[in-house]
Amino acid sequence: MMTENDIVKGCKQGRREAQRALYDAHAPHLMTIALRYMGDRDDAQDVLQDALIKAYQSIAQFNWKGQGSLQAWLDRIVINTAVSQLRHLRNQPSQVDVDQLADDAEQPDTSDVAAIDSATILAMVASLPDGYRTVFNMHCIDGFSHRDIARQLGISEGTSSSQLSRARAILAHKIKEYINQHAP
Amino acid sequence: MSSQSQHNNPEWLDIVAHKAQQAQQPADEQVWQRIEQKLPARRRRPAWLWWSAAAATAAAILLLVITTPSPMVDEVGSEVTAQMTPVTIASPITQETNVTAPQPSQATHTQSPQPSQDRGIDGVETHTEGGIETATPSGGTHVTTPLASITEKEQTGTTITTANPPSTAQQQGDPLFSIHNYQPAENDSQFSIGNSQFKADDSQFSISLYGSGNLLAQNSYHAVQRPVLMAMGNGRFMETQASTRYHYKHRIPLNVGIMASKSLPHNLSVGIGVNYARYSSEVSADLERFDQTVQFIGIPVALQWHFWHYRRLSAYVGAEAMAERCIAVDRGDEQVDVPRRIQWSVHGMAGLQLAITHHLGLFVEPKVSHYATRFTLPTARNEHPLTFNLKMGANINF
Repeated sequence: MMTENDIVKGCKQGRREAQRALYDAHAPHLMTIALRYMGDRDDAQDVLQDALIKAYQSIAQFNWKGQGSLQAWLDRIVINTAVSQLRHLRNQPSQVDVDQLADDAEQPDTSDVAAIDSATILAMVASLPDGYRTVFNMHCIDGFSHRDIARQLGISEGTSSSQLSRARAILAHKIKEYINQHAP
Repeated sequence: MSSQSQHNNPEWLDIVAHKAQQAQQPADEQVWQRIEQKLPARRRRPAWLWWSAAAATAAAILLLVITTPSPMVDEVGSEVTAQMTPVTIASPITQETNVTAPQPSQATHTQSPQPSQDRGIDGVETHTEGGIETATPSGGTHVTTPLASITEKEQTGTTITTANPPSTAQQQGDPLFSIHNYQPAENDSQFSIGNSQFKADDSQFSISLYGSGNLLAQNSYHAVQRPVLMAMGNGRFMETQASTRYHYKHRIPLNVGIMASKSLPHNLSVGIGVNYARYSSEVSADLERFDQTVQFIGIPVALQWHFWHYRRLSAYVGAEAMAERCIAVDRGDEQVDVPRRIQWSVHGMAGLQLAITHHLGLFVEPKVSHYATRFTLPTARNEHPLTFNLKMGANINF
């Protein structure tokens, strides 16, 4: 079993077994991030592939600073790759009656949300319309400010903020629908 | 990276974010297979192997330069060429060839009044014994080069006679007897240094040993390596709280090398060599500090034109192209593997050369360099692809 530091050193030396060990250890988590952003499994796997190739090629620049630093570095590469891909595709928000959703939006109960399994939550996030999904992921899950989001996506901060509100409304609606369908 | 609280998410959204981060979605095995196909196979060859390959290449090219025929220059600047083709003669009969230099229009054989002090062919007696030709001096100059074809300038009025005139077939086909008049080309004399007693530049070829440093590197460069995607061609960076910035303080790059040059007509010379370059940087981040050393070995190809000469001094301009390959990257105590594609660069230079003796000269050469290929890691050449260097060295002329 290779330690994270051993994996980093091995990858810097171009050793294939170290590269495979990095893939085995981190691919599931990175795939989750890619799926959150891309919404589609095939697109997510393409992003994962591109991101890991970039990581292997630029790992000489990475300095291991303790357990977890590699994970954080890889996360950033996947997010950057996904956002770059989304920008390239020039995805626009799908036509959703968000105004009505916003009007109807009610905050779901915390206990109800906690009862939903992670895979279902992930599927709900992945099913958000493209533009809303990107802003939601960047802001609510990955901690970017609206300023950073606006800069990265080439939109205004106001647009980022309004898209986030609509994304939250859509997600709240989906959660309530799910709870209603699975209510005992 | 996650900092939901700072964005004042409602509690249910924090739970959503947490669960979304916890989820695990295994990727298909095909993803790894595709990645593996695109990753270069590990090619860790020791540095000495690259040095050996480069040295062998340079030696082979040097040998080629030495053995390639080139114009000769006699002491008065008249030009005689001799093709150094190995001679074989079928007839066992000994033949003697007297090469004399009488006054123009003289029909009688006249021994050359002055023995050649250089590499002329005046007064050479060529003997062929047992099918192998040897040459002995008859007028004081020793010529050991087997002459297969002798060409002389009409202007000198030199005549060449043979004791046993060759047959027509021999005159036409046998290289030993293919003696014909030479039409001198204008300005195809070798570069010479005026009337100096040192004729360093009438040499066939020379070897230069040199070193160079960056003229603008008096103050070391400072560079900041941005997070992750800097070297990936992605114009946008996500600067998150977890981003690490490395500060690079580049030291003066060091270049040393050896170059073999061959003289050409029109005061031109062409050269090829081996160059070693070392780029050292001090890298620092928040909590760490280490040295980065990147080493390249390259093969430069240069063309120079000597446009001015006065006594021992001469000036020249030239252009050079170089292909380099990274042979080692050290970051701290780690030797790292980086994509090692060929690095291309072009250079322009103007130089001043001083002939010390027949065989030794010194030169100083301001040089502008453009490195066309960006290297993966930050180095001085990445920060400043266009640089000015000062190259200094010694020429050994042969």
